[in-house]
Formats: sequence, C-alpha cells, structure tokens
Amino acid sequence: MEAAIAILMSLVQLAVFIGIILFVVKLVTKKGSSSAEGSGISIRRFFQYSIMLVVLVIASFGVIGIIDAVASSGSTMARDTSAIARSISFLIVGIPVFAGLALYTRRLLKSMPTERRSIGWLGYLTFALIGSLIFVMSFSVAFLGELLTDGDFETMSFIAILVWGGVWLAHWLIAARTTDENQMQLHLLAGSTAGLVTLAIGAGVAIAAAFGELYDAAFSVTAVDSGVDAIARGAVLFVVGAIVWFFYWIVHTRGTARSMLWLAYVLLIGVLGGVITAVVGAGTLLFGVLDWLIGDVDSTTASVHFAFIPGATAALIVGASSWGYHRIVLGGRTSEDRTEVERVYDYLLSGAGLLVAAGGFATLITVGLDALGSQPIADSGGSVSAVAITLLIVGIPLWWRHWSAIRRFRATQPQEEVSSITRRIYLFVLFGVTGLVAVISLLILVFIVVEDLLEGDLGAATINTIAVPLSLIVTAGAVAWYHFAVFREDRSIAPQAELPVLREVVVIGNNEDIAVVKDGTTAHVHVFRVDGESAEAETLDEVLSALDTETHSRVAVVAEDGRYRLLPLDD
Amino acid sequence: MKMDRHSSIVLVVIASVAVVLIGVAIVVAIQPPQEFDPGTPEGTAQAYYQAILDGDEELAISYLDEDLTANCSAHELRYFTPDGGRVVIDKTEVDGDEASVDVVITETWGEGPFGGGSNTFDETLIMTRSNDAWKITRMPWPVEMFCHEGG
Repeated sequence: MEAAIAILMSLVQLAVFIGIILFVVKLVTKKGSSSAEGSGISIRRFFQYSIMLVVLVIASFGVIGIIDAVASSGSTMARDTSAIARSISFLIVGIPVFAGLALYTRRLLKSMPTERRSIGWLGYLTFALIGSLIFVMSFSVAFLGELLTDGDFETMSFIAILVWGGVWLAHWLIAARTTDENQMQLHLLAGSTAGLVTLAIGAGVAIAAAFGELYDAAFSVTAVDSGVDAIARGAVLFVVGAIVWFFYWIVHTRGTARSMLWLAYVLLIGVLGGVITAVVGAGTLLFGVLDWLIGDVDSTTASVHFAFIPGATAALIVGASSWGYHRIVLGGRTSEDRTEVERVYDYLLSGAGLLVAAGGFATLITVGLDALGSQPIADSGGSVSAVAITLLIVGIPLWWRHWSAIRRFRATQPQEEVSSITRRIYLFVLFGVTGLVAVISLLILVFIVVEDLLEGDLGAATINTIAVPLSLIVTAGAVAWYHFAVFREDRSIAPQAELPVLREVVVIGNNEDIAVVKDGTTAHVHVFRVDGESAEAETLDEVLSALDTETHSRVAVVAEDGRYRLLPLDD
Repeated sequence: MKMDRHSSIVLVVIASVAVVLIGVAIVVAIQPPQEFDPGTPEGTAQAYYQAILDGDEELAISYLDEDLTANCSAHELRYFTPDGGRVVIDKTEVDGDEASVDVVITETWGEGPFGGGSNTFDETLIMTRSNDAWKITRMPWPVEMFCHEGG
C-alpha cells in the first residue's frame, strides 16, 4: 500500500513537472505557431538548452576538480577520494554529453535561421554568460583577497578563474557570431548590473574602512571593520566590479538603443538604487545626531556613539555618485521639452521621497498617540522621535524637489502632463497602496478595540496598543486626500474622450455593392464577393447540414435574430 | 491656476499637522517617565522593565523571586533583550501581599531610521510582598524565553 502511494506521488510530481514545462512552452510559443510542430520545437529547445546548461556547469566543475587534484597532489597529505571520483564522473558524463549537444546545436544554427533568434538559444547564451561571469567575479575576489591580505596563492580559485573565464570567452565569441547586441541586451544589462553592484559595494567597503582608520586615529575608537585588510578587500571588490562594469556598460551597452530594458536598468538600478543608498547614508548620519540630542543613547561618550559615521558617509558618497552619474546618462533636463523618461525619473524619485516622508509622518502620529495614552513606566528614550524627524527631514526634500518640478510642468504643459500614462500610473498606484494599508490597519485596529472591550480592558492603554495601526490609517488617509485633490484638478483639465472613429468595414456582396461602400467610406474595407445564391436556415443543425453539402471552399454564415443566412464566397 | 489652490490648501493643512506633531515628539522625547515609589508594585514593575531596556541583566533578575531563577544565568538575558522599547501600565490590582500589574509592552529592534520594526503585546506581572519588597513570582518577559521555572 505504501509503495503504491509512493509511486502515485512520484507520478503526481512528474505530472506537475510536465505541466510546468508545457505551461512555459505555451507562454513562449509565438502566436501562429500553435500547431503541433511549433509546440514540438519549443519542447525540444527547452530540454536541449536546459540540459546543455546543466552539463556545462557539471563539466566545468569536473575540469576544475581534476586540475586542482593534480596541481595539489604533490602537497596533499591525504586524498579526498570522493571529491576526485565526483570530478572524474562529472568529466566522463558531462564532456561527451555537452560536446554532443553542442555539435547538434551548431548544426541547427547553420540549417535553421530561426534557431538563432529563438528564446531557447538566447536564453542559453544569457544564462551561460552571466553564470560564468559571476563565477569568474566570485573566484577573482576570493583569489585576490587572499593574495593581498594573507599572501596565499589559492590554487583552486585560480584554476576556477581560468576555467570559467574560458567558458565565458567561448560563449561571448559564439554570441558575437550568432546574435547582435540588441538580442543580447538582457545579458549586457545583467552584466552591467553585476559590475555596478560589485564596484559600489567595494567602493563603500574601502571608503568606510579608510574613514574608519582616520576615525580610530582621531578618537581611539574602533569604528567599522577598519584596517588595511578591510581596505584591501574593498579595493579588490571595486577593481573586479569596475573592470566588469567598464567592459559591459561603457564599452558595450551605454551606446545601444534606449529600449525599455535599458531605461529600466538606468532608472531602477542606477538612479533608484543610488538614491536609496544615499538616503540610507544621510538618514543614518542625521539620526545619529538627533538620537544624541534627544534620545537616550546607550554609549557614554560621543566618540563611541558616532562610530557609525565612516560607514554612513561611505554609503552617502557611493549612492550619490551612482545617482549623479546615471542622471547624466539619462541626459540633461531642458526647460521646454519634457520627455517621458524625465517624467518617469521625477515620479520615481518623488515616490521614493513620499514613502520615506510618510514613514516619518506615521511615526510622529504614533509618538503623539502614545503621549495621549498611558504614560510609560519604562522607555528606551526618544529614539523613536529621532527616527520620525530623520525620515521627514530626508524624505520631504527628496519628494518636494521632484514633485515641485512635476507641478511646474503641469502648470506650463497641463495637457501633456495630465494625460501622461506615467502620472496616471503614479496616482492610481498611490490610491491602491494607501487603500490597502488603510483596510489592513483598520482590521487590526477594530480587532484590538473589540478584544479590549470584551475583556473589559478598554482604557488609556488601548490607545498605546492601537497607536501603530491608527497612525498608518491617518497617514494613508492624508496621502490619499492630497493626491485625490490633485486627481480632481487633473480631471477638470483632462482632454475630452474622443468619440469612436470608424476604422473597419466588412462587406459581403456583389461587385456593385462593394464599389459603392468603398467609395463612400474612408475606413478600411474588407471585401468578400458573393458567388452564387444564398441559403437560409432556421437552426444551427440546418446550417451544419448545409455546410456538409457545400461545394464552395469559403462560406460566410451570418446569424441575426435567431435566423441564419449562408453566403457562398468567391475564392 | 485656481483649481490648484485646493490641493495646495490640503498640503498646507497636512504640513501644519506635521509641524505640530514634531513639537509633540520633541516634548515627549525629552520628558522622563513618571517615577513610581520603588516600594509599590508599579515601582517594582518600572524598575524591572527599565533594567531590561537598559541591558542591566543582574539588576533585572534581582526583581524576580529566587525560586524562579535558581538555575538560570542572568548573562543569558542579553540575547533576549530588545534593542529598545516602551512599557505602559494598564491597571494594577493589590490584594494584601499579592498584586498583579497589567502592562502593554512595545519592543523594538534594529537600529537607525531604516532598520527593524516593533511588536506590541500585553503582559501581567504577578508579585508577592516579602520583607517590604515586591518580588515577581511568575516568569515574565523576556526571562521566560530562556529560563523555565525549576530550572
């Protein structure tokens, strides 16, 4: 019985797995190729390129393992036989399978031009290139880090860099021959992201460590993870990231077409990522000062309390640099022409600032409600007030800087600004989010009040308990109230909805009818010439019976008021 | 534009409320908590929770009955204390040498303006008077997380 259940569960898992594959195939199969042949090709590509990717990874690790075992055989006191056996098995299975699939793929690419443009092939190249790039970067950082800090030459890391570097180079050359940069833009942008994130983290770590050394020297307090080793680790990350970013972004991607993907990378990764990092750094600095002034800090001396300064300053510098650079990449703002890209930029940063400021506003209301409720008998200090004020000071200028620019353009170019899709998405996302927050918070608030009421505990302490959900409701309400006022003003100047315009006419008739209609309308006319006498039918069964005996190759069936007319058409 | 005045008025109202709240926040921040007589159940609760929030493990454990913490180490408390918090009294009931204090605890974790969150919950401290001092006789938060009655 248990064996039967186990078999049944395995079959269910297999059915789910096959179902997922078929779903994916259905998604990627283009319209018009929904025939059995099209689906078959898609399934073939899915398995072919998936298996090829997996055996590529297996074979690469097998090569690395064997080379490492040979290279370190002279210095190893005890062999790890299972690791060697694993590497050998990876080689024995992986290399022949990969070679076979690679030759088969090569033949397909030559004989089927559509194969080069297929999602399967482009997906394989993208995953192989990005995967090998990440391996090269990871092992490079590990290798150089050990070399610079401890003077150790990590053989395994070095071998891995060579093997994965070779995999990356081979696939880069193949991609250059079989695709173009537009087809591989996703890969180029992913590589740019990997490089940018790595160099940003490296710069942050190195700057924080360097500033930490200065802080330690000035105040004799160990700030962040400082020291030469930390600076070296940061520098390694920065150099590896910079090389990858320069190759991918500066050389290969910056000058390519400004597609949606390209703009999404610049706006979301470069600009928004930089803004978030800078805001966190600035906010941490400001919070530290406010907490010192009005909070109840644990540390007894200012030098200990302000030990966060190096790290926070590093985040501010790195974030602001990324933000500034990618702003320049987007292009300068002109006072007259406003592109949709600039509009997205303004709404994106306005939204980020609004989110931070709303957090501060909600925290302020919580503090106010706590003051109305029961007085505390124990409190960790005014840090909550410091958090609220920090979020407001950081969020409001960011929000206002971009929202005031939006208001200016709305005043000078009302129709363009009000009718833009970006503005509508921004407003409706705001309404949706504030509505969701309000509903959930109201649920929690009512639950707490009813519970205290039923237990007979309704009192001043209830206010403390409902402070957070109530503050979220009030904040969501304030944000929605203001933006609804904006929305109402937009509607007053929005262009009137256009009346429907006739675009297409279908004519089924003789030549004279068709000629009259074509002359009498500017819409596109679809013509079907009637060839022979029409027939009438009362029911669908009669229609089907008539079609069975029909001799024309095309027939139009017109249904109206429960009756059917069959019109034979000219081929 | 004339219609823009409505949204501007709404913005001014919200900004005014925020300014008032900032003033309230600063006043609240610099006000110390109300001091209770240490010889009362409220004073004992206050001393215990303030010791927790201040990270003074030995002092916090000293307010518990010895039978509760006979086999527990005060130093373990450091792993269970929040980064910050706030405790308010809901009600107190005294019956001879027995007392119960209902409190609402808000613990916060994470440092800085962008880290962590908070959690609010109720608790009842059960105390017994012994030698003119009140001792907590039922395992309270957060000691209950690592110390069990009887060890």
